[in-house]
Amino acid sequence: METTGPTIGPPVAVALIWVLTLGAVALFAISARRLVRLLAAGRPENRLDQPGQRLQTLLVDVFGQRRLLERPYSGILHVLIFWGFVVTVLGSAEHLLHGLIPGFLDWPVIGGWGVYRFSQDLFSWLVLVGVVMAVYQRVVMRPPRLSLNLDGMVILGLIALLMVSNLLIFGARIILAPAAADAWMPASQLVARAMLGLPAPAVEALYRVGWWVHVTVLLGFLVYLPQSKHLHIITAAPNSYLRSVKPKGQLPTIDIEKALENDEPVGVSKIEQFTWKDLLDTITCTECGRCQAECPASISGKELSPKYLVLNLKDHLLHDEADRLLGKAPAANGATDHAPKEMVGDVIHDQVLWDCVTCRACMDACPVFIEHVPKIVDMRRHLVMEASRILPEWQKMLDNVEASGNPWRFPRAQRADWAKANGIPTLAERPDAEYLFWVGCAGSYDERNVKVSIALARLLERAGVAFAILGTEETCCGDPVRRVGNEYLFQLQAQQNVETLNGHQVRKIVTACPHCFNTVGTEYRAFGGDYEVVHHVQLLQQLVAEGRLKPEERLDASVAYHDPCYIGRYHDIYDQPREALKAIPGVELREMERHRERAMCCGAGGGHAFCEERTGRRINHIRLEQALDVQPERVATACPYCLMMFEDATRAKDVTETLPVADVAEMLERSTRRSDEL
Amino acid sequence: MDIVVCIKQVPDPEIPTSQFKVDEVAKRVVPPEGVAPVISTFDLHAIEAAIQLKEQHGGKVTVISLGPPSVRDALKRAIAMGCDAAVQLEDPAFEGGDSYATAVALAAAIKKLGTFDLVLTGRQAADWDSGQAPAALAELLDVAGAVPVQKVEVRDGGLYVERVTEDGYQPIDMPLPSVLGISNEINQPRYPTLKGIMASGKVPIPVWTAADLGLSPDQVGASADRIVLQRLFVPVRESKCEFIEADTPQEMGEKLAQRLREARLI
Amino acid sequence: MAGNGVLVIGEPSEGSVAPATLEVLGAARELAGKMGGPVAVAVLGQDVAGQAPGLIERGADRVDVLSDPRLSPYQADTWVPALAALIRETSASVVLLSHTQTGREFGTRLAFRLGTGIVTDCSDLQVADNGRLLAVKPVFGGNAVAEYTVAGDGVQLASLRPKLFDQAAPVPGHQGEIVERPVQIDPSQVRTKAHERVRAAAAGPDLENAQRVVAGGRGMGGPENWPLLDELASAIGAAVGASRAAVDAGWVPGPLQIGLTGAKISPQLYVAVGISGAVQHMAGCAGSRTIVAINRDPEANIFRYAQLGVVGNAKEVLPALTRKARELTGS
Repeated sequence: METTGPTIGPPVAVALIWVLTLGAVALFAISARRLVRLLAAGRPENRLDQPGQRLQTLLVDVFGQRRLLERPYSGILHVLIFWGFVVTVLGSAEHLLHGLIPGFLDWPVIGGWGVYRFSQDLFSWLVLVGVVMAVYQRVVMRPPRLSLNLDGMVILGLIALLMVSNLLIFGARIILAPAAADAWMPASQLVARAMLGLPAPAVEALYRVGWWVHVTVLLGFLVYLPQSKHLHIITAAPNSYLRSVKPKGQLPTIDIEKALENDEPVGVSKIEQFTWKDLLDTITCTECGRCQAECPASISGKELSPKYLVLNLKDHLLHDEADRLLGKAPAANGATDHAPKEMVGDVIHDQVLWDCVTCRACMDACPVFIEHVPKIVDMRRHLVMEASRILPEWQKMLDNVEASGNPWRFPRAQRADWAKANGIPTLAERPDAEYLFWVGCAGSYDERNVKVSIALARLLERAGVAFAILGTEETCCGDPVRRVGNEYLFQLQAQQNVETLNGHQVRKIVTACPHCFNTVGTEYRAFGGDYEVVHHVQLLQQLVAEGRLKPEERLDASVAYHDPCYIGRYHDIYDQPREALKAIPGVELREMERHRERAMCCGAGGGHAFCEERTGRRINHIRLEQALDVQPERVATACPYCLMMFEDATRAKDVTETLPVADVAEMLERSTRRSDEL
Repeated sequence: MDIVVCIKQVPDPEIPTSQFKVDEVAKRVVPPEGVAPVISTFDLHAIEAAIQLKEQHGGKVTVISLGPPSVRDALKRAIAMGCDAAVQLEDPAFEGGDSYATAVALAAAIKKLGTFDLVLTGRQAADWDSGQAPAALAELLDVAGAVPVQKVEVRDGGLYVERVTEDGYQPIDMPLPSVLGISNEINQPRYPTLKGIMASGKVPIPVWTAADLGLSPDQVGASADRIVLQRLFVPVRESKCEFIEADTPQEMGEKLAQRLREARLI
Repeated sequence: MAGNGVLVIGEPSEGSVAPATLEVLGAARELAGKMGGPVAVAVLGQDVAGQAPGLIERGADRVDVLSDPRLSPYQADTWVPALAALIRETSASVVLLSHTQTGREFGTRLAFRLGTGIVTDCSDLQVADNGRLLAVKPVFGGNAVAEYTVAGDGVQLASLRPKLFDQAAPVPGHQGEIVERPVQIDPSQVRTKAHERVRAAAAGPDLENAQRVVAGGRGMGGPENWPLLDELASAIGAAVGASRAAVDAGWVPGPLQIGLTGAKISPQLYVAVGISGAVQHMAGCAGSRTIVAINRDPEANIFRYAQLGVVGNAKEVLPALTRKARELTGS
């Protein structure tokens, strides 16, 4: 430990530094305590399970910055600044201690290491590179997802100051207190060289300037942090660690009976009805806007922006409701002259909640693992089950499911007509079936999708898979009902279906609808329904790989595959449909720019298959344009809603003849037809 | 405000035409299997209008329905939407009643409930489409009435009502009490809240017979009919499409016009 | 209390006779031809005597003029007692009116005031074996047909579905009497105060209640062809709707959309022009009593639902259809 060298000033300066430091820490602690108390107002939730998976997220996504690097320019500049912070914070601590403890200059042991000194030197200017890149992005490139605001520029400015002052401090020290490790600090050497001609007191003055600037900014940052979006440097890692590790497609199940008995809400209408983790989400938002950039609603001009949803909730928590939650009386001078705001209705407009298609693109894009969709559904639950505010089209859809077991009110008794006409057995007729083919409402009633059901049935027959359907005992899986917010009706549907399935002792299920796949496969577990559910692309790919299906009939065409959200982002099923398509001789697979994890929703999820888009452009039209961009001759998909949406769009754009749309099953069925069937 | 809403349960009007069947001997409609009856559409609007008025002016909404035990589901739905009380009228003597005969029982029930400020019902029921209930009730209760109504507001101890006309509406000032036949333009019936659905299971729904209403059997049901159903049938309809043949599209258009005229469709 | 002849109650009308009244007069004449007896027409209002000659020209044997400021603007509380008194005095066997928004209100109350019954929204009038009226009307949204008689042997009322019956044709040289009737209204029984009707700005077609609907789809080709549809609609008294395709393409505004997520209609007549008949569209109009389809494509799905079909280009079929329709209905 060096004992000679520059000082920060006369002895009173030390006292001053102690006062400033203690003051900054106290102010920070007060703000932090306030935030913690506000978070504690939220409902409890266990987020400490599955530590292995959580650690992995910490390593890969926080330290590895994986999600950020999805956008390379932003990713690189953030990596520089993030790692720069992690490394240089050691150096900043050194500077502070130097002021607090007279005679302290460097960390013991590592302070003199060349590698350590090199890291401080290197990141000081690398961070500056990052800051310059960031400023350029904000001011010149101006991506729409970033809001150009003072907070952002102030933070960048402060970071730049920290780094510049660092270099000044190091440069001056090289002159005033030379050490062997100085050889490891090229950038600081340059600064030192510039100061060579100056007399020693001048250099010490520069040192002090650098030091005081650095420490003031550092302490100022500490105080400023809880007030700005830069708070994320503290909350991002915990928020990522505490992310949801439940299956992605699973919405939380409420014990409705218990809730009503205890007079508890069944939806969220007040900020404290969210869980503490939801609230932590809101204060962790970095305003990067990647969620908004990926959101189909935002892209197509709807009112919903996932970013502003989160930020509006944050403001509501920290400003509108903070006094009440902390038990303080409102300002006596009547400064709060605005009427109390309803969180759902005033702060978050109903339409914003309706706009969501539950595609989860926002959640997958978010670098700090904020969960937008469950919050939206929670608030929808309030609107539908408590406030009775609901889109008229959805009201009709709910009535239809309640009355007829399908969203269109076709008669229950007709659900299996398509099967009868095609000789497809029910479980009663074929009790030894290995697979239950869960047809779903679209596959049963919608003329276009009945064709897909038939195609899948033929494929299963050809492959020698013993299967059967439930027939008229099948009723709507309840997916649109749950996404729209009617948890009560959903649970009725789920209980009924589970009873039917368990009564038949069903173990394996195959379905052609990703929504049924998700609901029956993951969400029915909460109701005692535990089945091995596969989506047809999984089974078909397996049958092809096993040689039980032999696609021999050529299809010489370029095919663009559209990833349905509810098997893609929800369940990471990307490869199997592609394998199945590639097995068809002659098929040339073309990927749309937004494919796999980044595929854009067709616009039908979250209940939107059952209502109109009234503002902006239609999501399915935009997605069709994305397909047309790669000029395929066919579009393939694996979801009845995606199919309907795509065909709708091709009709609107008058390209039905040049761009046929088909389900993977249909294409495979054609290709595996035996010559006597052609 | 004490509001009474008279509702009727009807076979689901949305069943596809091909499913619609009639028992010509019994002169009644045979509902398809597994399709539950529903509250007649305009009656839903009447329930909503009543609840909105209660929310604005305070008071109580009682809903009445005449019919077999299945109407209890209709009454529960009304309670789930926000009505406070319900009464079912059931008696073999009520059977075979037309709109008027049914209104006799309803009016007696309304009088038995006590004083009322307003009686609301749908402008017509989605089964027989006769639209006579509002007028019958007004006449039997000897109060003012209006049908079809697209707007009702309480003003100065009376009502401001807008009657639907072909090209707009007619404003009328009406007293309390009155009977109004509600039309669909007035509102959007609400979806019941969860609390409402739960509460509807707990509200007791008394059943009143003709005797409870002080009516003798010849005063209600078929004996009191003002119109008599002679025949009910499903007109034979060719399900095959008849294509109009002609040499030119123009001629086809003309022939079509003639066919439509012959069929009294235009 | 057997009466004689048919009495028509005229629609409230400013100035000339309402077309609805002429329709009912036409039906009344036909009925009187079968039942026997004179045909009279009652006109009510403030200044209605001027309507009488025209009515006599169209075959009315007698016109009862009830002229009184209390009868204008129309309200049930004044019309019902005035008409009840008239009917008791003139003893017709059958009283007919049009099932308009107004007729459905006063006609029904009038029947009950008289202690008799009314069959509403009739599509046909016949005579039963015993000489009493047999009124035919669509029920259950048009899925079925019911035939009713009025109970007892008193006066029989029926309201007729508008635009279904032919207007009474002029009878050259026809003579009839015009009788000014005293208007008997007990003021203590007039509880309401009606105001003049308000014409609402075109708030979109009342698709869901219309008895006739004409709708266009992608096959219309473009918004520039839409007036052809409007013309047809106006010729046959129909509301105008559209399929999703036309709304999506921006040719017409959203409220016109018929379908699964649009208006649900169940008219007596639905003319689908250039509409393919996708199931989501049919979900909105499957309740139509009669479906007529005009489409270029003979394989179009709509023909599986339609009762009448024309395979042709809308642009060519519509003008001829409209012209002929106007000719036949005299509109």
